[in-house]
Amino acid sequence: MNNLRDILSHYHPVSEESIAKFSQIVVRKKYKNKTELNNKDKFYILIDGFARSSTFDDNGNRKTGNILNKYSVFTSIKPLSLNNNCCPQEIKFDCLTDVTLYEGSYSKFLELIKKYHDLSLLYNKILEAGIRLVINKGYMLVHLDAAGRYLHLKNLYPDIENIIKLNDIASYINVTPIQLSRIRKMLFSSQ
Amino acid sequence: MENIKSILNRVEPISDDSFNELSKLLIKKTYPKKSFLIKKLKDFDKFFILIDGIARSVTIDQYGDKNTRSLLHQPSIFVSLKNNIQNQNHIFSIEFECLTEVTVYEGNFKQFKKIAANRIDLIKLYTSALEVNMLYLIEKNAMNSHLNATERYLCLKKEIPNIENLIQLNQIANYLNITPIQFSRIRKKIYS
Repeated sequence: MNNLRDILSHYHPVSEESIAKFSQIVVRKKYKNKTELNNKDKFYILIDGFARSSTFDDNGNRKTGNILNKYSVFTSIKPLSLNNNCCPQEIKFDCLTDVTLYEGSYSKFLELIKKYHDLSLLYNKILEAGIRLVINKGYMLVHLDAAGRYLHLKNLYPDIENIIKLNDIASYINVTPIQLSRIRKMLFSSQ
Repeated sequence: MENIKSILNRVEPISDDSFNELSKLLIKKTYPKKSFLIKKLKDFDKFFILIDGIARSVTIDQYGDKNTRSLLHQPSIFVSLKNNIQNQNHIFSIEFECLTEVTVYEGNFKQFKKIAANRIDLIKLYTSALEVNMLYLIEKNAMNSHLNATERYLCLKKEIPNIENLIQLNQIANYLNITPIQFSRIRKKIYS
């Protein structure tokens, strides 16, 4: 199901007219592994491959926020300073594998949802899905220990090691690469 | 009701007409300390606009361990999207609990969706509220992975300077995801 309609109706059913309008503002593109996706006024719908969102703090440390897979919709929401800016707030997206995606202008999309009611409902559904993703990540970070977080990720993507680098996995589950290597040794040598 | 309007306007300006419709759904209520705003299944249709006091949202895993996800202080708008989220083999549930006496405007979320269905400004209000919440949650996650416990505490102090007078220290520790003992050591280090 690589066409736009199927992906969108996976979130919320939209009318033919809205889909036609929507498809005018997106283009299908391919990006190579490691490309950083332009963060200015763009939104993306991933069709194939993996991307990730990362946050950066003032010292330039990167932490992987979320791993984005097929049919994820994402955009660069402007950094908000809710906690008086004491928190790392730059969010960037980059490709972990070669990806195929739909790319569009976010401000044009915002124009569209003013006119088309079903698109604005769609946008709400996508936001709700995004919030669920972020809550899940938050739950994982606080309730599970490091080995639990690794197993959790393995459950989600059984062949994750073949898709992305171990360093990136460590960053996603918030452990150092050394810790991850010990966890993997412990898990896989006791079997 | 006027202060509700200013709270909502801060999120997204809505027309007077839509505000009137919306205010028909709202009832002002006061909940005592330690009571639950959202816990039972029937509560999951409700949405809240908090105007006084502090509440928290909690995730509870299958072993009964609780963690404070967010501290909600005025003004905040919240709703629970789902009563429990199944994250593969982990099932966790979400509760909203009052940490102090809390005054809220309460409404039925299904009815809100109904009146919002043909009012574009109410949909936009919901959209903006979702965006703000999403950023807040992303920030909380980033806080948990980038900052150490002391830095997290200082962050919270910036947000709510008199937090110690409002809620218990062990609840603060729970929000920071550290033990009460660790928390007490951090405070000793900072203040002595």
